[in-house]
Amino acid sequence: MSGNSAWILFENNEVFYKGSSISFHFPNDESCGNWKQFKLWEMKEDEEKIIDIAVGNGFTLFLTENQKLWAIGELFLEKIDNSSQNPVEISSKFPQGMTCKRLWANNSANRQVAFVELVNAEGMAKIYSAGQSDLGLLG
Amino acid sequence: MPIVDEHEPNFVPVYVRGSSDYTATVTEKGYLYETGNLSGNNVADQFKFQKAFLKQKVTKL
Repeated sequence: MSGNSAWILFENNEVFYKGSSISFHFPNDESCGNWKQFKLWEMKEDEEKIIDIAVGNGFTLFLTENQKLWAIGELFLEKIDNSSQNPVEISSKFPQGMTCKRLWANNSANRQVAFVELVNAEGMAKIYSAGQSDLGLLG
Repeated sequence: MPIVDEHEPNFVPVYVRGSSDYTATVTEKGYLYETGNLSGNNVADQFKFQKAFLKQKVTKL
């Protein structure tokens, strides 16, 4: 949840959202006062189980059980050099050999920063961040 | 102000998320309570809430 939007992930893998879209945070950049279903994949056969979501100001992240990380929201995507008005898979930005466990997102109005917990082969967990901040959020 | 639902005395919150003007709460029995104002859309008047039953179990709010 951010100041502008609320998202719910259900156990049956359905995702719903409501609120205001900022820079293509929602499909077609359309705001909605009622809960609306979000489709991350166009084709049913492409669907994967979503195990975590995180919502920041103007962007949402989705982590699947197959270690695919997706993001929607141009404000965030342009800051990681993946500018798009549609959802983009950004798993390739993970360091090699790391498994993603959890996601968080910063909620500040003008800063889009994502945090992920990555675990290496030895089981050691580290927090990585991505995005843009002028307040030292990225470490 | 706490959410007090006279029809749901055993109110057990499982997920609670809030922003500056809006709060969403999912309870153990699968109800979603919303209070406040989400991005200009009033979901409930002050000191009131909007309640809906969720047909599916929530993984994350």
